[in-house]
Amino acid sequence: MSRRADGDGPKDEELVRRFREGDRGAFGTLVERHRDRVYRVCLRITGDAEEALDASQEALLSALRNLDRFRGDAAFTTWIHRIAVNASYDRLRARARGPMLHAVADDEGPMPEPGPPVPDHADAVAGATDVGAALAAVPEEFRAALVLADVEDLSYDEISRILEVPVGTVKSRVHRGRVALARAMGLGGADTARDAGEPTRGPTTSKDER
Amino acid sequence: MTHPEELLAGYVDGSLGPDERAEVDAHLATCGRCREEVALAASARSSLGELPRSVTVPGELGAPALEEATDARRPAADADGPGDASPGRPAAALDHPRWYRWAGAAAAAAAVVLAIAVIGPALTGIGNGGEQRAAGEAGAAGGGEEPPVLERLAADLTAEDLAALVEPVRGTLAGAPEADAGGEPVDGAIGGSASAVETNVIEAPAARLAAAECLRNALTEGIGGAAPLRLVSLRFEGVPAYAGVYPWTGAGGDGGGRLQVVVASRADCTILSAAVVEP
Repeated sequence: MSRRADGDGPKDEELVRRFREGDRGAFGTLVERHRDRVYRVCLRITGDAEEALDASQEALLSALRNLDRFRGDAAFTTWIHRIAVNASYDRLRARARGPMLHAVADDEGPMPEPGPPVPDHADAVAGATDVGAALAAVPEEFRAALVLADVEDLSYDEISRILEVPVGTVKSRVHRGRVALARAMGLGGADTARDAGEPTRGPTTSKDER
Repeated sequence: MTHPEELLAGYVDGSLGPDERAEVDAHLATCGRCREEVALAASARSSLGELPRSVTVPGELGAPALEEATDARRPAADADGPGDASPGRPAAALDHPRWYRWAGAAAAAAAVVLAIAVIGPALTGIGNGGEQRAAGEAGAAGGGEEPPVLERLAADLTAEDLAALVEPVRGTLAGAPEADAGGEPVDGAIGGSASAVETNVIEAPAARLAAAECLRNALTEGIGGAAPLRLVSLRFEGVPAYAGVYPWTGAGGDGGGRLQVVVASRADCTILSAAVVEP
């Protein structure tokens, strides 16, 4: 899903090359390919549809403006994931600084907005709000690794390249993130009732099988 | 006792080799805390795996970047006004003083109220929408909702100019719009303006769809499912915006050949202005 097979059109890196040679439309193809992924990552890290839209818009603009600097050392998907993660954390930091920097606060004057600019995606899918909201309770330093691992299904090696931290750090953050999420959701562990004896085994699909 | 935190992640998702798994099993046999964490982590991973793969992505996502990518004439710094290097909100939302946006919204809200009151609740374009969609299909490649090409107008319009936007598509309700392509000046497109205004065409389908979606979000009544006859990217009183020309389904269902122009802010798809134009 993140890489195109040979028969599926030009590879990302090829599109970057074409863009640099003047084919401005090549960037449009890159946007079409990656915008959903960028938005999904931003949504799960920021926990808010409007923040996610801001972060994604900024991420795509940043990708465009830095396309000259993309050297192909990393895969394009690694690079764009990194940009999306950084843009999401920028939004989180901006939010933490207070509403003064958030332009929407200026709109709360006497005139009502004619309609919501962004649909509320979290409500669109039943059940998703619980997990989505709980993700916002996961400490930020664990959240990106957790989202990339268990929402985007990326390998620890790939996450390590995206976040530019050692693989061991990634694994530790993912584990701590999962535990924090479970606690935020009030999930009992499957076997917390069980005493000493059989250790539990992970039930879900193996990362190796992908 | 040290806890093999790095190994626990792989243990839960099954990516450990047999030796490492045995090591963790041995640890878990004597460590209740890690047993509990492993159980919690497994539940969390399972819940995250149940999140839908596809989320509804806002239609306007990517439009600013696509604009800038295809804007070969103007340097990036000019495309969206000063300060577009600032992070966070799209530039346009931060650049304009609060009083301006409020005034713009006031005028727009009045226009919207008028339009909705006249159009009425029964006429959201559903009846005529099918017709327009069919007409749109005749001229467009893909599905009935395919918007026309997105033109960029190198002009800053005011409310008085809006009526002139319909000129190229006047009388083309049944067919594809006569959009001028690639840089040819659209003479007289701006009423009262002495000089011809250049337009160029933004080809990227994602940009066209984003523009149409943005306008649809801005004014949900009175457009309904109708595809725009003309789609323009421009500045409206200094604000980067999209303008769409649509058939107006007035009282009686016919609209009398009237067209409506809807202008929405590109940054957050809120309505800036709307006008109904006589045939």
